[in-house]
This record gives sequence, C-alpha cells and structure tokens, in this order.
Amino acid sequence: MSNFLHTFQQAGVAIRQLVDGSAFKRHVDTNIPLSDEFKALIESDVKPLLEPLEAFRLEKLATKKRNKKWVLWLGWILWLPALIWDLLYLASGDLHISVLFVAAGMGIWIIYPEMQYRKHYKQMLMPVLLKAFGDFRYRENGCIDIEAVKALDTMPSFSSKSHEDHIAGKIEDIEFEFCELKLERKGHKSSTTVFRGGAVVLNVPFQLHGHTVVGMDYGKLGNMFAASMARRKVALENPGFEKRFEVSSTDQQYSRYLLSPAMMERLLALDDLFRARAKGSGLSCEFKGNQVLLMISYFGDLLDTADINVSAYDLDKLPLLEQELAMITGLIKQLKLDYLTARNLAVRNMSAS
Amino acid sequence: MTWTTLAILAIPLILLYIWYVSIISRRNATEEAFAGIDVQLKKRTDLIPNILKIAASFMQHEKSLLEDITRLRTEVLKASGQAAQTERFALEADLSQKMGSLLVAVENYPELKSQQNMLEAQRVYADVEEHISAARRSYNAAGKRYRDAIQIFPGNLIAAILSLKPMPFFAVADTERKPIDADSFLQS
Repeated sequence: MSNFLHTFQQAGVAIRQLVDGSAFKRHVDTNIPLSDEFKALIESDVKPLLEPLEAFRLEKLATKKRNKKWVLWLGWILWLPALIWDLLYLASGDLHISVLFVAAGMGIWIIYPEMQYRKHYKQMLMPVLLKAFGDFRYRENGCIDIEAVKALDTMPSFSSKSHEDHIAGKIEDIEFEFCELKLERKGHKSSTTVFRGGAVVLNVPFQLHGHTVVGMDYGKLGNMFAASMARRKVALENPGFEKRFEVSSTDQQYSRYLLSPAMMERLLALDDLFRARAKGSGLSCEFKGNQVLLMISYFGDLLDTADINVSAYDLDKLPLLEQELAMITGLIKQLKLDYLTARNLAVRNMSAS
Repeated sequence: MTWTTLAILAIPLILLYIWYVSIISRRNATEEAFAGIDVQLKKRTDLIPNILKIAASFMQHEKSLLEDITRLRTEVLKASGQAAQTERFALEADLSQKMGSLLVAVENYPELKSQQNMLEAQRVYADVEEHISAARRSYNAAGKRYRDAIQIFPGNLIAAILSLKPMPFFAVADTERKPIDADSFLQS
C-alpha cells in the first residue's frame, strides 16, 4: 500500500515540478567560488589527469560524430523502405514495431561513446575530488549494502535495481554509504519505479532504542492506510515538519529524543536542499538497531557534470560538483549525527567506568 | 421491547464506554510519560555529583553556585512524586538553569575545560538533558491528548462524573522567558 502511495505522491510532485518549471532547471548557485582546499586539490591532483581525459574525450567525441553520420546516412537510405514496410504491415492488420526498436538501437549507438566518456570522467576524477571531503572511497557502479537494509520499512520491496555513484567512508565513528538508486517492481504488464534517488546508510557505533520511521506525509487517509501496526504515530510540535512528514515509533520518548526540535529543522532543511538542488521529491528515514537509513527521492542526476562537447580542461562545472559532493558527504554533519554519536559514546564510556 | 429500542439504548452506552476507555487509557499514557521524566531526572541527579566532583577542584570561585546546585538537587529528589508536580517543575527549571550557569562558567577555567573527564561529563549531561527534554515533550503530547479527551463532549461529562482534571503542561520557567541582558553578559 505504501509503495502505491509513494508512487502516487511522486507523480504529484513530478506534475508540480513540470507546472512550476523546476523540472527543467536546477537551482544551483554557480556564483559560489571553489573553496581554497578544492582549488589546491585541482592544481595538485586534478590537472595532471586532464590531459589523458581530454584525449579520451576527443576520441569518444569523434566516435560519436562518426556514429551519428552513419545513422543519418542509413536513415536517409532506409526511411522510405521502412515506411513502406510499416504501412504494409498496418494494412494487413498487424502493428509492427521492429522499426522503432531499430531506431532506438541506433540512438543508443550514437550516445554510447558519450556514456563511456561520462563514466570515465567520473572514474578518473571522483576519487580524487572526494579527497577534499575526507577519507571516502568511490565506485562508479557500486551500491550500498542493500541486503543489510532490505528488511527496513523505508526500503521498498523491488524486483530489479540499478545503481551508480557509490561513496563510502567513515566520519566521526559513523560508517557512511551513499549511492544513487533506482528500484523497480515488475507488475503483470509493466514495471513500476518504486524509488528513484539517493540512498544513505549510516552505521552508528551505539544502539538506537526502539524503531522510529520518519516517512512522507500522504495526507490523513493515506497515512492511515500506510500506518504500521507495530508502531504508533508520534505527534510532534513543529507544524511545518508535521505537514511534510509522518512519524511513527515503537518508543514515543526515544523518537522525540532523536527528533529534537533542532533535528526536525535540520531534516526540513535537508529536504529543502535536495528539492532545490536535485529536483527532490521528499525524503524518509528510519532509525533501527545501529542503522540509520535515509531514502532521498529526487528526479535529478547528481554528480553528473561531464559534457562530451566541453573540453576537459574547462573546469566551470567543478563548483557544481563540489557543491553536490559537499551536500552528500556533509549529511552526517548537516543532521548533527556526529554530536549524537559523541554524546552516546560518552554515556557508554561513563557507564563502563 | 423490540430489538430496535434495545439498539437505540445500547449504542449510546457503548459509545460512552468507548469514550471512557479512551480517557482512562490516555490518562494512563500521560502518567506513563510522566514516569518517563522521573527516570531521566534520576539519571541527571545521579550525574550531577560526578560533574560537581570534577568541577570542585578547579572552580574555587564558584563555591556558592556549586552549593546551590547541591541544594537544588536534594530538593528535587525530595519533591519527586506526582503530588508535588508544580513545585518540582519549578525546582527542575532552577536546577537546569544553575547547571547551565555552571557549564558556562567552565569556559572560564581552561584547565578544567580541557580535562577529558569533564568533556565526557559535559557530553553525558547534554545527552541527559536531551532525554529530559524528549520525556517532557512526550508527556506534553500525551497530556494534550488526555486534555482533549476530557474537555470535548461527551468527555467533559465523563470527566465531571469521575472528577478527572487535566494534567499541567511543562512550560518554560519565567526566568527563561526574560529577555537576555546582552550588556551585562558582555561586560562580565
């Protein structure tokens, strides 16, 4: 039921973004200059990589242009026979879509070199750029440990997944994992996207009490259908937060400890940030055991700044990349989970002594 | 007497019983939430001597503050229990304020501030304060549900019959409502 409500809610947000125009542009502050640390990193580590990257770009650009030329030639030669072929099939009462498949295949053949360049750009630059934010590892096709969080309520059930941009590291004793994730579930006739966005798994070095879920608000009726039998609704004092989220927990008091007034403001700010920067459409999070799972839905594509038509030496897009990397790797600090961890570790140490 | 007449008589009684059950369970939930504050308060009162012990050896000039905290802690412990709620809320607010002053005063003692055990104690105290705050919010939320149930018809009739009274909300102490005197703060 909650998957259906989620899909319905996402469709609503998508329509709103199309109507207000935010679906076509990303509100990114391009006037923000690069930080000194990032500038130094570019000089020392990034610039030496640019020469082979530019050579790779030129090679792939040439391949793309050649493929495009071939497709245009073939298109000119084959459009009339293809049309006659289709009309003949149509006259016989059959609908034949093989031509469409061929056209789609040709399209992919054209853009494939560009996809290769984007992938190569990320593989070359991302591990280096991440150094500016701490001890992080990057895998272009990596995924969060989905098995570890599969049982959590915020993780929708799915039949297939695709993922990219896996970033992992450790910040102040908290293990951090992020990836862009697309989850689909097969129906009778077609597949439905049950989640698209960023998934963050945090392993904290202490045990969280109870089971608390901060989900999206689906309206009174929707929340009633999506409600869990095991958890009770937690009514919180922040009207803005209550309007956007629905909280339920097995421990009323501990859920309020986690969702302090400041934490509610931080979650709202995080939601606003992703809505502005990545065409975000809401977030949900879950606290259970020693895990915190954040599922941030958005329609945008983060960390994708490579452009095959722009020289690799042109670093104009790097401020955007820096902002996006800072946004992802700064999640723990943004939610001040490092303070929560430090306090809990101090409690543990004091109890032990 | 037909089944219809019986149903007409029974339905309001059933509804009243459901409302009564709801009021009692909400009252119990409020009392449970109140007990949750006790648990957290006990944690704080247990922690305060540890902090005072660490601080006392460094903060000779804050003797009166340390004595005030010790006295308030004892009074809070004495006032435990639901009967002395209002008095206890006020004492707790005083204690919290004095502890806040103590933690601010720690800033004036760099040697104490850099002590690892003081840092840990400050973190633990901050955590306990967060738990107390959460327990109060939980109590207020439960109290609001209970208050709604006994003030909305027909709950007000049931409450009048059973002499049920709303439980007080935790509110910010009057001292905390006063505007901050920035001049005196900066001059000190």
